[in-house]
Amino acid sequence: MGGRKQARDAQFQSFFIGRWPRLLRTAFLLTGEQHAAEDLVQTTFEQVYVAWSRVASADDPDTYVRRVMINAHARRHRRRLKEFLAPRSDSPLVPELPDGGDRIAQADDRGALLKALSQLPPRQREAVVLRYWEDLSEGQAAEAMGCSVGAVKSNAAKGIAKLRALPGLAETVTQGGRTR
Amino acid sequence: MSPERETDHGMAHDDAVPQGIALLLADAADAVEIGTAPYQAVVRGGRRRKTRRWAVTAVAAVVIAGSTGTLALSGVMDGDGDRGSSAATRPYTAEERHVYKPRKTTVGTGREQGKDWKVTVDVWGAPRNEAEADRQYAAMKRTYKVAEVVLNRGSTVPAAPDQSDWIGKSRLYVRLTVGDQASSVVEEAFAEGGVPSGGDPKTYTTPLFDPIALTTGSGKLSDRQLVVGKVDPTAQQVRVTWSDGTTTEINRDEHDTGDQDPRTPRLLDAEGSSMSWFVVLAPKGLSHDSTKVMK
Repeated sequence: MGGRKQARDAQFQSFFIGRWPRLLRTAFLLTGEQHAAEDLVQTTFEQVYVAWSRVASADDPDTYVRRVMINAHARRHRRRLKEFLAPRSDSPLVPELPDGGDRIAQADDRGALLKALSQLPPRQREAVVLRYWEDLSEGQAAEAMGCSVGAVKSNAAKGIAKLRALPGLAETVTQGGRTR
Repeated sequence: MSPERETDHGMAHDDAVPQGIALLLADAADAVEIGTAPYQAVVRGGRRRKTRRWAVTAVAAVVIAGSTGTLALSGVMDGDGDRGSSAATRPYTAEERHVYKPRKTTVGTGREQGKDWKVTVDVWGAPRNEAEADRQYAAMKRTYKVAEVVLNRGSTVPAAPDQSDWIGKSRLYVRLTVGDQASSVVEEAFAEGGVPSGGDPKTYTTPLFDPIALTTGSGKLSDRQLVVGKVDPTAQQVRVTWSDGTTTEINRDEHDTGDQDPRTPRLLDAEGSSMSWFVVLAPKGLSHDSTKVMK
């Protein structure tokens, strides 16, 4: 019994450590703030831990985890919890970067994108992040968001359209990003 | 990104837009600092949640009484589990995913009026393409003999699988066998991979022998009512209350040695389902009133 529990915990630990970097990045795009992102991923994995025996035996545990995280993100919005997505003077989102034209341009892009994302409604933001950062298909994104494929299409299209409309982002968006 | 993915973006503008966004998102995501994964904190939080859940779980049971048809529920409660380990890296075959042969778990047995009865939970893995879906449908027809019973009990026309709805969905059937007659009393479809279970318990009732016995006549029950329930897997005890106010407690056997009478109702896990199940026969002349998770 104890051995089984140990094995279960070890399996969970391995899974958690392996997924932490990727999910933290996704959470960062959703929340726009380091601590909020860490908190979101931590909350997600607490729930995953509770249901670990089920998750581990699932066909695709990552699908489950993504769904939990999107739900947790949506819940925070419903509860009107504070989010820090928009770059603010007391919450520097863009880390200090070495000098250099490209790097500065990159930092500008980051700040502009995060600010633009912050102005999207949560569902549009989720659709854009899942489709174009997580690289999920529309069906997979729909599963993660708990909505129809049509809703994902609509939210992603609206989100992209709004991002394109923002001055400063339109050029990089339509040109496929800056050259790095 | 695959060409297929590109075409299903459904965007009104050019493909460069998503591509550009993808690059910008990747760049922005790089800005986050990846520290050490807080494993201990997560485990502590998880344990707190587990304790809290056990303490306060309450059930709003949904009762569907005297059903004569398959109860089709588009569910999102169950996880599809066929992998032994999340660390597995090679893709699993359709056979390993139980696409053509369901995982079957007996969740209740008994004997009534000289006939043995049995309830099983069959979980079919999600087909991933049309070929798998077609083959699964054929396998279901073979396994359950009569397609109408499986897909839409009471229907005379078997419902051909709608590919858009069939692919990517696992299917769960609760099968009631009385003597040599079997039928499906519950059908659910749920997305491959499943989603969190978490407190959406349901109770189903059906006459044991005659589908219409409980719904016709002068109100006198001529049949025994069978209650099939599914609850959160963390539930340890469920109380079923009958129409006269009496109750039956159903417990989970944490240390089942196999010596227990298999006819004793108990909470059991079913392979491929993320919920726990129980089956209990209503006392003679009584019907199900409510279900509540006690702990």
